[in-house]
Amino acid sequence: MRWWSLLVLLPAVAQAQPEIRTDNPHGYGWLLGDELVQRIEIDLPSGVTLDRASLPRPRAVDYWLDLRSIDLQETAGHAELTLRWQNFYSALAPDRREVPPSPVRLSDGTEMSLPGFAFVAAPLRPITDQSSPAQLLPDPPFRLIQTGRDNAALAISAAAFLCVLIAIGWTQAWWPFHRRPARPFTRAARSIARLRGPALQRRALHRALDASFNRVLISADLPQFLAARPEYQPLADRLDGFFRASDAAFFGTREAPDVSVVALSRDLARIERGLR
Amino acid sequence: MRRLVLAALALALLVSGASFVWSGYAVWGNLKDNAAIRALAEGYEVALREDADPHAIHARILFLAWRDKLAETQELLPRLADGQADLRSDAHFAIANARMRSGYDHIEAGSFEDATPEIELAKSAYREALRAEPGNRDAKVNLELAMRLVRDLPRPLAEGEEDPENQPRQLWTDLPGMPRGAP
Repeated sequence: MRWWSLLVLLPAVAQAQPEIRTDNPHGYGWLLGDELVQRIEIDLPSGVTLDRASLPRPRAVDYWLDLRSIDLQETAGHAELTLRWQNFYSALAPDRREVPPSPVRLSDGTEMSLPGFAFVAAPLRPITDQSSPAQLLPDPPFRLIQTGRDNAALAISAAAFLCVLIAIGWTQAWWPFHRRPARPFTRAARSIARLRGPALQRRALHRALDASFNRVLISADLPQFLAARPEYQPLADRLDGFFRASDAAFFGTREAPDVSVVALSRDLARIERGLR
Repeated sequence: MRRLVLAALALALLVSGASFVWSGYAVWGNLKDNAAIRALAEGYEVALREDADPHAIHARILFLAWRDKLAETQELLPRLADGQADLRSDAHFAIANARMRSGYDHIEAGSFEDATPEIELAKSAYREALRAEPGNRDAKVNLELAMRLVRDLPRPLAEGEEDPENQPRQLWTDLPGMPRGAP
């Protein structure tokens, strides 16, 4: 006798119905084609979730009703459903329609149902209006593409491209920046390539070194120059050789090492423009 | 340091150059498509580009629907699928209007049995227009008009009045000796 009463109690304990709060669409004034949004909040027992496979599928529920979409937001112990219905009932006079409840299942096997709701569908046209071809609303107008955004994007990217191109030309001392005072080696390398005669070439490179050092650079000042401009350190040996060759040619004292002024000026120019 | 600056500038040149070419292509495509839309609106049949803008496809559907070439519009509809909802809605609306005009022609000729399927097809196209854009008022009015001509009637259901989706699902077979499918 005792265990019989236990059996009766058992399902009530195991299947405590979760609490449901609904935010139904307004009950009146819905036209053909209107979208009705229904929000349902469910408080679930801990550890229980809503079985997604049991949710109603978006479909034509009836000849006058579509379920457009169903969206489930789930947090621990709480589920929030958004159902978007669409009314396709063409009413001749205001008419109350009943949206049916939908059965769903929880992960612990409990069956429950999402509540339905009722709304009044209203007619769109007067019932006395004719349904002649003249009453048919005409085809939609042709529509051109709005080009403003693409045109603006083209203008902006063209301007950006031009700005970057000018910036590169400035760093590389390209025309019209080819006479930039801050690029003495670049200018010297270009003129040395045209000059004939080692004396003229040496002279041009000396002027460039002077300009880079901000005062006259003689062979004794070379370590000071390299300390101030460490980026030219890799060319230290060749610069030293150039000065010794220059001194030899000018004073005729020492044995002159063979240094190519053209190659040296070109390498100095490359370092100056950040190419090496 | 100078090398870093130069590398950054080269990268910026590449990026801005790529975006210049890309937006230039978009502007060129817009010009071509707008020219096609203008021609279609004036009644000249023109072919569309392979990746034409949804606006141009919309224009061609309007052009074809007005001339009752509905089979060709059906081929174009999938190309609108990921376009703007209002364009899709208008395209379905134009197709539905074409069906309605054909339905009215049958009614005037007195053949109501030919008119009914046309009106039904028009109704389903108006529904598609409203599915794409529930706020399309023109489609609402014309659908209601079509409903006055041929009313929607409840579908006969095999058993009961309930939606079959709402019936409890029979997941387990009734095979004897196999409770819930277990061996």
